[in-house]
Amino acid sequence: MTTPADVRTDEEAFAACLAGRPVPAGAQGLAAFTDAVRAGATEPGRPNAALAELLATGLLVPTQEPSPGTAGRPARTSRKRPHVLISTLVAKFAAAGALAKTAAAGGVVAVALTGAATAGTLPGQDGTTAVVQSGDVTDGTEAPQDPADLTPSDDTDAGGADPDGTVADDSAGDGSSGVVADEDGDGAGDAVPDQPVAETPGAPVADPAPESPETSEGQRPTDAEKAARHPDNHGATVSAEVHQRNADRKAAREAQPEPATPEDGQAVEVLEAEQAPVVEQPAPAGDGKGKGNGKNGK
Amino acid sequence: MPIGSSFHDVLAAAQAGAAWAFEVLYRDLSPGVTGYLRLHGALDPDDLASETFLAVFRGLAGFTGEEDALRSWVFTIAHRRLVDDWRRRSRRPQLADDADDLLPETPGGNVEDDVLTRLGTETVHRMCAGLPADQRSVLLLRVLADLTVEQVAEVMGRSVGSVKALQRRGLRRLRAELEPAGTPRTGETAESAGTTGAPLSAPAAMTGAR
Repeated sequence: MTTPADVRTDEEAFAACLAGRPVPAGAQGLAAFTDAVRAGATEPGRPNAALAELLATGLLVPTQEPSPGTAGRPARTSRKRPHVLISTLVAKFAAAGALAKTAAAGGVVAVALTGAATAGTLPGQDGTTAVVQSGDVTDGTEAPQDPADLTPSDDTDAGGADPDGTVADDSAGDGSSGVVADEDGDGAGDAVPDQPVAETPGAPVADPAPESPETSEGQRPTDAEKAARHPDNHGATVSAEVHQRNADRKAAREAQPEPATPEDGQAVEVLEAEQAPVVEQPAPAGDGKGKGNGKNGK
Repeated sequence: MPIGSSFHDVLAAAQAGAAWAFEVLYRDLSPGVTGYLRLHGALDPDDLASETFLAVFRGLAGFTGEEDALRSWVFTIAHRRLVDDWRRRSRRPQLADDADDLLPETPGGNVEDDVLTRLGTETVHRMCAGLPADQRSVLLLRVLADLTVEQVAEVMGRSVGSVKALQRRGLRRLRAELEPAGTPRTGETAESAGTTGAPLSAPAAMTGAR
């Protein structure tokens, strides 16, 4: 039976064993036990692969503070520096085959030409003329737009002058004023000669340019007059020819007898023009084997 | 063997990730940790100790304290790893069946002494396996880790009184196994016990006596 004295002796003996002091009598077994336990734990264990690597190489501890070169700067989107990108591209181009080089060069030239054409820097490029010529054919039969829609409601710009001075800017040849000149409906906006524009507000600017809706006589100039005034304007010439041809056709139709309903005269003309006269044609003779059209009486 | 006065230098180097500092700490603490895990019956004490030290070294940057505090912290991690291993295996602690893990090889030693030592080690393992896990943890932490009762209480997450009670019951159980029944204890001295010729009161296999 264990008495409190035995318990106290055990604890004292255990404390003596841990402290390395001589054990009291009757606790030699406990001392032998502690010695045996300690003897079995004298060698380190075998580390596994992860711990062996850690013991061999250490642990890479991330730095807490940013480097002085990058402190205060926003993070780069790409970790590569520009010169690295360029050198990489050059190296890849040099390592590519002949076909790939040719294709790449063609692509570069195409992109360059497209960009130059977009910027309008190619020699001989006149985008304004092209726009005006394409507009002459279609605008010849259309009523011109109201100049009030194109000009601001500034009374000082009355008289048909271009209110914002874009006509004067046309001398730069950038083609930006071609669209504006085309909007007046006569298609001669690009042929506007450089005229001094009055800088004084309130002074009306006399614009002799033919894109004005009305001339000084109050009538629109004809295409023939425009062509005569600008002989190098081929679009106006073509437009004049087209107008002349349409006028001839109209005169020829008017020479013919009018149909019954004068209200629908134009519609009937269109119908007659579209419907060709039907002439009864004899059906081809069949060979009796069912290849005919059945109109030969068989 | 404690690191001693150079502990702070070693700790600072280890917190910076120096491999040599890791090795110093590992050589100092690994035997106790591995022995603690082995005597608890872990199936692979070396691997469990390695996992323990991996966790220690990775979390060492946030540690502050003295050497005994580091030892207590390391054994805390080892104890939790051991509990996790128990829960994973869901089985009672048992003796490791690998004899090579039980005893470090002593090249050039006396074969007879080695056999006696092995027998003693096996006896220790058997006696530890006969203890309840909590009592075994208390005794092993006090013997192998040189922890105080308060530190053991922190490691095990128990109160100091509970640890003292566990230690008392564990010592009583050990004494019951070490001493044959009916052996007088109170008032007995070592000299009087030695006159009987008995190798103290411990089994001969554990003490190595012939």
